[in-house]
Amino acid sequence: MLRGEALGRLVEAAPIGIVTLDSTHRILAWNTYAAEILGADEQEVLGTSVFDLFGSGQHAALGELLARTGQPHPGSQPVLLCRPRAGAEQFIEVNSAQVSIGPEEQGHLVILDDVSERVLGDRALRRAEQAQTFLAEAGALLDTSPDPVQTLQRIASLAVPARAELCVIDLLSDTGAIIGVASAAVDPAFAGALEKIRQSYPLDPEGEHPVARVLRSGQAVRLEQMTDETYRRIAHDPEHLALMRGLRYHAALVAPLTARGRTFGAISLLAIDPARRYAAEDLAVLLDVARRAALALDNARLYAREHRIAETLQRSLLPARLPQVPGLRFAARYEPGEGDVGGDWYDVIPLPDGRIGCVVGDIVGRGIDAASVMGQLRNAVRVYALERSSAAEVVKAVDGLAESLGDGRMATLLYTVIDRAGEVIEICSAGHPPALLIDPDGGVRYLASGRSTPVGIGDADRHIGASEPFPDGSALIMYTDGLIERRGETLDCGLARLARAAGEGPADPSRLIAEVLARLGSDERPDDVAVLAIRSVSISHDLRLTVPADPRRVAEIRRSLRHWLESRIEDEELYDVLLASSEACANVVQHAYALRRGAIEVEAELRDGELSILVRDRGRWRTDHVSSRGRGTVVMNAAMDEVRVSTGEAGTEVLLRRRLRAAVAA
Amino acid sequence: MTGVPVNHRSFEGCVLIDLPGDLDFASVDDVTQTLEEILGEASSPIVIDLSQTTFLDSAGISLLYELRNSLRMRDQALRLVIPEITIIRRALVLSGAADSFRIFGSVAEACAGVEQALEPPA
Repeated sequence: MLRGEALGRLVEAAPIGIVTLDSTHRILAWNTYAAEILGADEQEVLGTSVFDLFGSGQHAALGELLARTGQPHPGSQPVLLCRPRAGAEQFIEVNSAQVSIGPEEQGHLVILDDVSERVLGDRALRRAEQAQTFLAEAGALLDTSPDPVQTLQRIASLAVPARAELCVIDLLSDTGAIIGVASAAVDPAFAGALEKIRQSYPLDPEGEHPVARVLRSGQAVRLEQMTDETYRRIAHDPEHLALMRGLRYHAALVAPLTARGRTFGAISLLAIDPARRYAAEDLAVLLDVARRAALALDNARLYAREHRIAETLQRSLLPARLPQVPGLRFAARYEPGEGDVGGDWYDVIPLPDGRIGCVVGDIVGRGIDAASVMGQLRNAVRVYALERSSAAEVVKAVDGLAESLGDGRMATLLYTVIDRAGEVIEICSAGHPPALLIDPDGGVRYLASGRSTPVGIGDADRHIGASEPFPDGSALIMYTDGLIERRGETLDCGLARLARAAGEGPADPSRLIAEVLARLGSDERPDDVAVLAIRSVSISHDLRLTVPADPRRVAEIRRSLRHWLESRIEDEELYDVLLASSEACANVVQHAYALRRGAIEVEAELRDGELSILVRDRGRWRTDHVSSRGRGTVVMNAAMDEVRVSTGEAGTEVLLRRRLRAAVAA
Repeated sequence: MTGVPVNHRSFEGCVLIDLPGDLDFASVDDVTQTLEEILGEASSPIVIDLSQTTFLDSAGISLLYELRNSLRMRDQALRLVIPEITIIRRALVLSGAADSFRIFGSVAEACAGVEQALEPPA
């Protein structure tokens, strides 16, 4: 065993701090290493309490350790104490044992080891890992999300609890107000408390609140130790102060959202857990995330503005209304996709020879450029359609122009010429999805003939035309690929769904388009869509009805007329015709009914845009039963071009005529 | 074939009546009779809601005129609710009756209109 000086030398040289204490915990002696660890001269500390070496926050743990080692069976578990040291924290592992320091006195032998490097290393590593995770996850969100505000909410959620108890993201509104757009908290109570504060006390952009200061300066702020003094400086009034004290955050980081030289928001991390500290590197991590978030947000803002401009341009280039043509009904829709606006268009061009040119096209590419090229090609089609007679010649000419534009832009294009009289259509497709033909009996097929490759790639002569029958009652749907494309699905699937929807769809073209869009639509339509539907309706067509002469059956006549007419004329004309016909029927039925006559007849025909409706009863006319139907006559005359009421031996007969508006316009 | 149901209730200080169905010469007699029963004791302003009405012919319009005239004798207001771009509105326009009635686009507007239009008896 070592005794006396030998032991003294060994203790002195031990690579571990050793301190001896008396029974009242005053320092009696320590070795060199202890002095080094604690950074104090022996002369200064001798006789002082060991507790003075540590801050009051550590006293409980130290006291417990010393009390424990005073027991007959001392524990061997060291405690980790922490004390400030220039610029950082020092972590000291402390253990103690009871020793005799005099004949009657028990003291302590305290063993100290500086483990700062290990603790801080672990902590730094953990922080670095967390920071990397935070950065990676936030970066991935910002790169992929189409909705940056939603992304901010998710970034706030990522920050909690790894980097804060509470995270708030504020944006500067157009009017200069500071608006909280996202927040996340480890405890919903924190979020609730914050919400309450923000609602009752909106941040003053000119005020002292750290967020306001960061928004003004563009400089990040790290508040290491929020004191009541800090709260008081920020608070508007005692109630505000009370609310802030209730939230109890003691440290905060606020980083600006700055992009393209403009600061438009701030991300704040608030520490409520007493153990959480914010170091300079924590602020650096937050700044990194804030920079990326700001750029993503600003890109989204610019993109949204560009999208609006492109969409306005796009819409301005589409026809305001489609021409009215006897025997043909048109409807069209343009729906912007969720992405950038494309160069889809449609047009209907009445040709000098009475045929009708119809076009749907799609410029490859997106945005303002695509929309303006679309405008050029649309005009080119209009001009060439009037100049050239065959569909293929028109497409060849457009192709020549597209090539001469020389910016390497391709376009697909489907041009059809409808010959209403010959009941035939001519088709020329430049790499465009095939038109869908709906037969009068509802059968559907895609028209694959007359197909070549897109315009704008040279060799304009390759385009070919083809003819297809287009009998009365047929319909044609022309569209751009956005209609049939759906993520994760083949084009064939889209084509099959379109065929099914169109085959089961209503006759009226605009209702047909609405139905098709509804059935093929999805929440995420990436591309824009142009659809043009054309239905040929009989120019001469008859309706014949015979119903019992009973006032209650007139509603039936109205229903039949409505059904017969509604795919042929517009709603307002339909109303007029129904109102007039109903008056005519009432006129005839009332007389016939009073005489218990059997039936009334309705004959309607539509020839070359003129509608005539004849209502009569089969029976004898009795002159003593004439009731005044003055108001009914007013309605008939207002609704129709011609009203003739004749009475005679055979009964009553009312003839109504009206030239339909579509035909007038043609 | 059933007639037109005549539904009535008090609403915002008015008697609100709706007539879902075809108000035409086939149904107008029954509707007139029911309306007389409802309106016999009523003294509040009358709002006829035609937004669920599917057809209105000259006989229906005559009924509205008669109703207006008899209410006028009792210093009672009549308001019609007819949404725009319906065949009902078109019927009133074509018959020249549109200017003879106070027509509103919705029940809320009609009831509010009645409130505002209440004038002290002359």
